[in-house]
Amino acid sequence: MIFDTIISVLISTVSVTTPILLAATGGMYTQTVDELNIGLEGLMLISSFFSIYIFSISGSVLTGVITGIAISVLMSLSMILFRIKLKANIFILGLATNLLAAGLVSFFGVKLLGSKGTVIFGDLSKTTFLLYPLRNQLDFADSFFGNISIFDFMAFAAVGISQYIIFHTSTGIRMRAVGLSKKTAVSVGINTDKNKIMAYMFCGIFCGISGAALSIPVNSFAAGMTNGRGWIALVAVILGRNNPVGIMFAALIFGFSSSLSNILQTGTEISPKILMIIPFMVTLFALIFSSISKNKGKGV
Amino acid sequence: MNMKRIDILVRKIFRISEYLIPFVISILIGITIMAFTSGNFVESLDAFFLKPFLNEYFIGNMLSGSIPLILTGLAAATAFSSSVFNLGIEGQVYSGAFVSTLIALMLPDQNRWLVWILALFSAFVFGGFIGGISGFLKNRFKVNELISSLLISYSITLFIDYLLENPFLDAGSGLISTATFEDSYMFPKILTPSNLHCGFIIALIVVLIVYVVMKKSTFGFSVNLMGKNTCFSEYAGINTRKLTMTVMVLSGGIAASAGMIDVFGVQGRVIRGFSSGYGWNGIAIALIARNNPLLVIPAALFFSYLDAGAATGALFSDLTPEISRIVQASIFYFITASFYFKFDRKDMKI
Repeated sequence: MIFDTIISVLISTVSVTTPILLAATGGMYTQTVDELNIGLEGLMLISSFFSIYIFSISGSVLTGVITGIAISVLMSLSMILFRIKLKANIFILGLATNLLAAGLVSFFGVKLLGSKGTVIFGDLSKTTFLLYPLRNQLDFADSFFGNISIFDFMAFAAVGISQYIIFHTSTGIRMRAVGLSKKTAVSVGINTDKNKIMAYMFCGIFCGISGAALSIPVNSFAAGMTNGRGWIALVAVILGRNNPVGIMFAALIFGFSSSLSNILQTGTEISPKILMIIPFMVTLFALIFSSISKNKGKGV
Repeated sequence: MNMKRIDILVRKIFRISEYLIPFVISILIGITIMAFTSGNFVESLDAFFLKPFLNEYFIGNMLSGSIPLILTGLAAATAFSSSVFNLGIEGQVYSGAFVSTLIALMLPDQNRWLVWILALFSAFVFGGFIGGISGFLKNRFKVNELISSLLISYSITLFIDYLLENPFLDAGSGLISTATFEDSYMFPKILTPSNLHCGFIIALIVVLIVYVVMKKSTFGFSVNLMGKNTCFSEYAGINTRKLTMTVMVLSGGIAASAGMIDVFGVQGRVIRGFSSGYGWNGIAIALIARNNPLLVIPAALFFSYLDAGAATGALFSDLTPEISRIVQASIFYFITASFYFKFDRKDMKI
């Protein structure tokens, strides 16, 4: 019994963490070049809409995900081009992206699906095999690995890939140089604009996958689908201090406290609204403790 | 001499037109979308752009819609002009509305002025307290106030949702809301039957006060200096920690009073989620107004106009209301973009 509970906490931790981790990994690239993208929420939302919509038309998960990624990359790139070419403020562009995505999603929701609310696209059974690759192998159906979706694998793979890109490739080193000191980077011949565009491209890709990871596994879409996850991802970027592994732990802290709150909602009499506060408070305290440890010995 | 004068004039025109370009482009985007999606293009243009001015009712509602936006815009502008980022306005508005409603419900049959002052005061103090927490965390632990205010805002919103659903639920109303306080406590209406109320005048007065403080006082000077360069202002002997705290409290307080004024002007009770979007739009308005308290008023009116256009557009034609959100969003894309980047911009730094 206790074992089952632990397994279900683990499964729900991973599934809550996945979209946040993916978006946060994307955000980390933009933070690395010192142009933090606060439009993660918008990129996730637009991708979650288009990936599920194209998936429902084409019947192919891959086509859906790729469309979601493409649109997210397009929006992400348009942000950084506005930043570079027209010197717009990146913070405001982020807010604009969030607003535009919300507007576009409800606009297309009405035009394409005829609904502003929740849309359910039909039964899940056809895609289960694709989404949970280990489910039918070796009696994994009820165990931990049977419930790990392809997106969960991608999220944790993204951490590994990003760790490699940021710390072990020349691209990553250039990006970090741009973020640390623009002038120094320019003086050694690094094209800062190119690196910023690259960072925003990565951001678009990961936010695109993150959006698809929200809508495709549940085969439905709601206008409030992202529900603040983009902002939590931003918190994870800051908590993780530009380090993919750090970001993974930050996202896992939020995921774990969310899944605890989910479990308590079914097991106890405490109001769900009160329990939903837990992950935000846990994240806030994690932020405080992280800041304390960071500033230790600096005379703060 | 004459040439110089012409040069200044040309620059001024460039400056103004640079400011207007985002609005023109985004409205053109809106019109393009209408052209593609609407069955009757002329009718929908008329419904969106002109019908908000059709009669006193629509004009009144448009002005009424701008009241919370003016105040949340002001709250954001106050914080942003000192480079302190308060993203918790959403939760501060909600809590201000809740606290002031509680005051009104606890004090039946009192002098209305007493209730108004008490409600406004307690909303301001509570909102200021919430903002102050982020200021404290920033000063004491160097926690990014952008993130902490956001997390606190999410938590507060959930907590008030809980209070509305359980202990303070008025079961008879059919909505998830508190009980309605007595009618005599409501702000007097202007332009009935529209929603416009005296809170509009209060909002304008608050804007004026903040403007004078920001432009004419030493406090305002140090706030702006800190916004431009924190290191330098520390060098100049300004206590930036104290200032950060003051600005967060002020911003939170103004945001909370937006909630109080909206409740006392329109609903007379707190309905769950009524203030959703006020905070984000306020931030947007502050950015459009470039943190100038006076410019917050036209920016808020413009926002409210687009919302009103969306409503009348849906009422009188086949437009979907989301068009206004797309127009609003495209304004942001262009608002800080500079279109004369070859022009000498030394005097145009934002």
